[in-house]
Amino acid sequence: MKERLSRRITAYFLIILVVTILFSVTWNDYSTRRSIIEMEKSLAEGCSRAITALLEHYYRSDSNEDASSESSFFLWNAVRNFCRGFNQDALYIYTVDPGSSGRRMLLAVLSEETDVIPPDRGAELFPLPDHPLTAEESALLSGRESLVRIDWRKGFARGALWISLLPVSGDAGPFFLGMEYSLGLEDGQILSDFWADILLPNIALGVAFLVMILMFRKRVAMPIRLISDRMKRFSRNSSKLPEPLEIHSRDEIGEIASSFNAMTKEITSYIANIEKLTKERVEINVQMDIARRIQNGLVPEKRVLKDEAFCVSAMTRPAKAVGGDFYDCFRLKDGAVCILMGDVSGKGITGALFMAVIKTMIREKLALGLSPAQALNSTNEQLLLQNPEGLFATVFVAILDQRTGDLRYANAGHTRPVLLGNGARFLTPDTGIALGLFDDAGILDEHMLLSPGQGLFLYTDGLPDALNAQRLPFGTDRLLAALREIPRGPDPAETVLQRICAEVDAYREGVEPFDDMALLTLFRSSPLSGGELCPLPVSLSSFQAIKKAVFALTGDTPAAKKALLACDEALTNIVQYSGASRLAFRCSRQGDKLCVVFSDDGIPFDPTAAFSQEKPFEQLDSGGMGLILIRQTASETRYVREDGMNVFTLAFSL
Amino acid sequence: MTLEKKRQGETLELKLNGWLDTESSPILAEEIGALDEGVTSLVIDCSALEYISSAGLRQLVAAHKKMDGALTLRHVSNEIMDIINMTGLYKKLHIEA
Repeated sequence: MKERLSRRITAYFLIILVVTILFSVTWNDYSTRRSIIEMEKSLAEGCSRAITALLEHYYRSDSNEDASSESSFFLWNAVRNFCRGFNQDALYIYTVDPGSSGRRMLLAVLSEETDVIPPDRGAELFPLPDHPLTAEESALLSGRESLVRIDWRKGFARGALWISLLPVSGDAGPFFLGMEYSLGLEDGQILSDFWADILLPNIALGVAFLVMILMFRKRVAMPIRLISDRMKRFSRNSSKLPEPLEIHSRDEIGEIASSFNAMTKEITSYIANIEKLTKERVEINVQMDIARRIQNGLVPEKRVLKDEAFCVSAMTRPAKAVGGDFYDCFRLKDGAVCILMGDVSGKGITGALFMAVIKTMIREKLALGLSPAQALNSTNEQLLLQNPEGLFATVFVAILDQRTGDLRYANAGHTRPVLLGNGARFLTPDTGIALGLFDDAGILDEHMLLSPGQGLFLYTDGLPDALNAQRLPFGTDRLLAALREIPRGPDPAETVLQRICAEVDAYREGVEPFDDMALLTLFRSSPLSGGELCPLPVSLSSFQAIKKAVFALTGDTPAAKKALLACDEALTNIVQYSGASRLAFRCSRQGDKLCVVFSDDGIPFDPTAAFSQEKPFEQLDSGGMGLILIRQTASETRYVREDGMNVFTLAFSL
Repeated sequence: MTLEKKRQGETLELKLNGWLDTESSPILAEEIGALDEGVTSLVIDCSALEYISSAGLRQLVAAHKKMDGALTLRHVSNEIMDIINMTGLYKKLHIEA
């Protein structure tokens, strides 16, 4: 059960009221009694003085104590008048015999009694105690007190009693004056004072308070309860704007109500705002997630493509945001190697989708046999047809014929690739304009010969723009210097990537990359560099050695026999037609792939170029079947003329 | 490679054993070159032939031409058949299972 404010205030008030009443009653009683006693005292003093004067006069004029005499009556009458005049109920004068301490009544009057009261009746009316002098009487006698009050009710039935010593000169005496009045008067006085002074004002106060508490309930407690109910309801459902409080008083309550109205409005709109922001953030995160997935699907973080004649290693380093860097490497139908690297202008999902479109377009066009420039120009035209976002992309494309080393490439505004060979230098292609901007991008094909051992390093601007702690970019000079120092190992493309990554990481000193980065290295490898070739006599009998070497790798299987058939034919060609004086051979196995290399110093002859020459059956006995068999049995064939040697490489699936 | 000959009237049957490669094909070439007029039908038994190269195939073509088509290959294994198929010789050569 909740406490109500008005109830608590009422309880407090009642307690205060009761305490006040008790206090004032006590105080009133005390002060009334005090003032009554003061009044009594002054009356008693006056009375005592008057009677002393009376007695003085009486004893000076006549020392006779006969009560029946005229002067006695006069005395008695005068005492009675004083009794009335000083508002006493009764007065009596008694003397004490100093020897025996016995008390003797001399005169007694009652204010309501008009007849003379003889001393004996007086002694009956006011029985004096027999015991010796009381402390009060002694104090009077000794002169320490002139007036004492004795609450002698047990002895003096009528009420309070004042006693004074009447200092009458002469031998008579000592005379004590007893003054009595009824206590009922005193109590009645106090009671009437109580009603008048205390209870009535307090009742008035109570009524006033009742009115006040009603006012309080109406003006304060009820509105506060209303506000608190509203707050409770509002706190349960803060997103809904509650109906405004209809409290229009101009006091603090009104202020609270209007503040509450303003506050709920503000909180509701604030919450709505937060909800909207949260929703937006979730949407953005979902978008980023989708974009990242699209990008990861299209541009894997790592890609390796290689065979005996070339190796390509590519990688991306994504930054916090989804970037637009992309690369691709794949082989065309004729075995040529395509590499491309690009950077689209948009970030997030837009950039990712744009990248997907561009990458797919270029790849399709290259697969159809278009040259790099044709593919890029055609993609540019297609992009310009529909590119509402105004996105653009820089792309570099190269196609390597790994047999001849012919490298065709075209650049659409991308960073210059680095040619790796003896040292490293920028290839300076005739750069066209980025895709998606102008009709006439001016992208042109260029050619160069990539010799075995030479390579190409492609990158996006995330690499040279990588910042260190001093916010200085990595830069192209540092890049070239780093590339020059990298030793060429058995897998040069991968080595270059690893070393450049390590170099950039070291440069960055732990600073988070703000831009993503993509790297790709293509190397044209020399088949001769793949391992030692075993020299053989230029003779058909060398076939036995070849057979032994191949079977050692594969065992005597039908597939191995077919591989040997091709080797037999290649050997026959060299021995019978090339005029070679030196022959070397190597075979190696990787998984289910057998790789064989023949090297001879005979006349230049590319067996792969003669593959297509079909002969009629009748001429087959003069030769030509050997090449057919090689083509049919080998999964890959490659020929290079290198350092005055024919190098013929064959690969077989086992 | 080794070679076994069997003459039955006008039919000569040659049985090839082992690897008929470039190095060993002259053995077959010699045999074919030495065929006399009396042989009107040549049968080559390939049941023991493990391998054949283009040089060997060339001798088969040469024999086919010399016999005016009266050449029959017998018991050709799948492996050897594969190689014959690759060169397209199956179109002209008479092959018995």
